[in-house]
Amino acid sequence: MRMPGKYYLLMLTAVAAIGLGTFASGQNGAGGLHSNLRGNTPLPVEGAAPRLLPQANTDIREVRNYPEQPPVIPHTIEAYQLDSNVNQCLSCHARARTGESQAPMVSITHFMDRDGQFLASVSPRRYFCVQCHVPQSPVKPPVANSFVDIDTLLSTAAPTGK
Amino acid sequence: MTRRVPELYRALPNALCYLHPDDAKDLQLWRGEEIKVVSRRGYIRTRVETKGRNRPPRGVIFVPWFDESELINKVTLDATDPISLQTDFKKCAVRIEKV
Repeated sequence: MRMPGKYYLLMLTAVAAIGLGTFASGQNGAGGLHSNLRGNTPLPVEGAAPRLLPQANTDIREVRNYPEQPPVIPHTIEAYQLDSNVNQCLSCHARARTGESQAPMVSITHFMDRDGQFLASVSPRRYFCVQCHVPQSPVKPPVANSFVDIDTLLSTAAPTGK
Repeated sequence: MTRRVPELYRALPNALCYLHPDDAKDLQLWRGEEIKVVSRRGYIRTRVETKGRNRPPRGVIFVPWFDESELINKVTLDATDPISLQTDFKKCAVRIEKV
């Protein structure tokens, strides 16, 4: 196919513009690659460490994304003693303490041993709360997340149902 | 999926250096203070944590490697096992300096 010279020139300009655009969006002012997880610091450089963030202390329960999710801790647990001698979480969340504390009781599954037998108190394998339950810092996640919970998913999959 | 799940990201937004409280006291470091973790290969800047989920014994520190802004791989060894080619990222001798 033969092309007049004018079109060649136009195509070249278009390619150059696309190339420049990609280059500009991949780079930032400091000259390094930008990533939401890495920040603006170039890879060979060590940036200053971000400060420790406080834990959210709202005492408002968060909705779980799915029924099996361990609920997150909506209050600060800094300086809580949690070792083989003392479990400070249970001073409010134990069955006998929920009346005065109005905290949610430790789930019934936590009284089960691995054979499914219910014990009188919290099972040793569920004793260390922070293995699953974590407090939250009030920060915005750097990466977008497209998770939708099962109710939303079902209602979009079958719009006429329910 | 590291740092992609909002609940997990908010649980621990950045990597920290977990220290035994007595080690921190000897080094005159406060919780939250900025430090350098230095080995013969490189260093990173991070912050002291003495009360977190990890409770290392005296003389041992722990830094997780999920955080792209604090690449602990710069500090650790890049050797691999000759048979399985498994990386030996996991432990090395370091010292701690104040920033």
